Amino acid sequence: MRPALSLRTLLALGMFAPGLTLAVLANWSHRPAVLVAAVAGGWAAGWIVGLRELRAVRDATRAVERLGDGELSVSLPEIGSAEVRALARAINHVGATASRREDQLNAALDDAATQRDLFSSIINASSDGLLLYDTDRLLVAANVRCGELLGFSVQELLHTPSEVLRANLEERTAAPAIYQDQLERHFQKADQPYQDTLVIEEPRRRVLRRYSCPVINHRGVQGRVFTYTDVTAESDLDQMKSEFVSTASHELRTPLTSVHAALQLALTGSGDRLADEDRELLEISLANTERLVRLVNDLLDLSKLEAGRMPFDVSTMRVGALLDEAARGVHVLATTREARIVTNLGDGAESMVADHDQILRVLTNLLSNALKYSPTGSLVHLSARDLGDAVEVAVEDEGPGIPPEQVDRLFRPFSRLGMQERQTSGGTGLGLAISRAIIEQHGGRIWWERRPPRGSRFVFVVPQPDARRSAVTAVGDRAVA
Amino acid sequence: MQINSILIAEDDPHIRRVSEIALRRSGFEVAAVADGAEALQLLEDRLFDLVVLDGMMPKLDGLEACRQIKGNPRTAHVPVIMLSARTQATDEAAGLAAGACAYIRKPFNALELGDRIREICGATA
Repeated sequence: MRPALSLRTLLALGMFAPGLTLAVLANWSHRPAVLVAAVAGGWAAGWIVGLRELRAVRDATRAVERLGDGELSVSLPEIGSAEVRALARAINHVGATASRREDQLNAALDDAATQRDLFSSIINASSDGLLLYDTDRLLVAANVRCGELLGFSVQELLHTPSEVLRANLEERTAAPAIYQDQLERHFQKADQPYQDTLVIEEPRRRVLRRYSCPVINHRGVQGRVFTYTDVTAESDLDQMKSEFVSTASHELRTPLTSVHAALQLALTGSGDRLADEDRELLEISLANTERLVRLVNDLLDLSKLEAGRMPFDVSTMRVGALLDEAARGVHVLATTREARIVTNLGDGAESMVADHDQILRVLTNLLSNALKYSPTGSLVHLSARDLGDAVEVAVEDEGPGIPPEQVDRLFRPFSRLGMQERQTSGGTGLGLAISRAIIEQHGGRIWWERRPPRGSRFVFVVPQPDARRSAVTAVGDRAVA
Repeated sequence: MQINSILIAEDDPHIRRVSEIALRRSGFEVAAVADGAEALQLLEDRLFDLVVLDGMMPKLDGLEACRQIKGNPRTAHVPVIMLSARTQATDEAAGLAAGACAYIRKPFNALELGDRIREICGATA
């Protein structure tokens, strides 16, 4: 190596100088032979010392080369001149530091591997399917269960190009035409969770609840995680329940029709021939048959609504006319209760797109409930307002309100507060459950809230279609321009 | 249109009987049979001012009986009302498509049955 060679020469020359000095001090004025010997001796001593330095430097060079190759266990003896010792020390230090760093790095890598294994064990232990997308909507993680549910292996999920995977999945769903649109809704609001139902037909039929939520850290949204829960059994059971109730109601209707009609005819056709007590007994039978008919009708309607089999006839209606119609419908009850219905139409609540008869049914139900629980001579407020993308309707009374422990089951079937009231009010106990089903079929929401200082406030919101909303926006835009 | 005679086909014997009584008390002359096929047979012997058919019957159901009544030139002019426990809008549309002029849903009010029929026939006349 050229640097080593030139270094050796330099050192030899350097050692020649002390040899010469020694010779001069020994015997300058005497014989030239002594001078030559002294010079030669000095040069030889210099040469020996130089050799040792040279070897140390060569070792240092090799050590640096080994360090460069990643062989970090260097330990140079600290010998020779101060400079060479310093060099060895420095190299030893570099080696030690690098070695320590390497240990730390290895520990971190080990840690990462452990974490990765742990993460993979955890997501694979889940009974729900899991998918993780990054912000570019590339699939970065999937668990075994997800593969099972969707009919792919994890490798297929992770390594198939996303558009191919999407097309394959689309074909396996019950409704391929809307698959893409439904999936898009999950990504529409990147920082919000979203949930829907997905029905897969192959490799076997499964009803999946698909839930997605954003993965967020201090840098913001990092991706989106999807959870697929198999709800096939629940969904089948639910359908069986609906079908059973529907069939049972149908079967009950036929005998009820003849009992009802027969009692009506017996009571009206018999004139004065009936003894008072017999007439009373027939009237009790008729009243209870009518209650049974209402109950069977309500049960049938509820099961149809819950199964999504109630035919809806959606049209645009005037909100004011609808509220008036509902108020007129309960006029008799209002008179009996000596209560008054006050209608208040907020700004802009002009029209609503919904099924007229169904919404009227909800309103009638809420109003008659409000009247039933209103103190004599009180007011029932019926109001509506436009929320832009929805219409909100509220029915308020000045009654006793709802005890906190009853609020949760208010909208469940047969959850009426007192058995006593159910017997005497003539209701079926299904009114609020039917109302909720109707509003939910419209994509809306219904709830109860306390009305200060006293009373109940039932509110429902019916979302309005985009066409109406964009028409409203267009008008707004024009106003700004 | 003046309605005097009504032919009613209903497979449930009790509903058939109460309907018959209700309509007779409303002032109609009533013949009641248990099936669509019997109704068609009776129509061969004599004509009625109105036929009321139950939707679901064992041998010949109301829809098919209605189609045959409307398909026969001799009976095509007789108005038909369908009676059904079904409340699906699609079923009603099928009945109307078969030529029925109206639907009465079960359970019906026996006291109002006669008036409903007069109302319907008055409106279609």
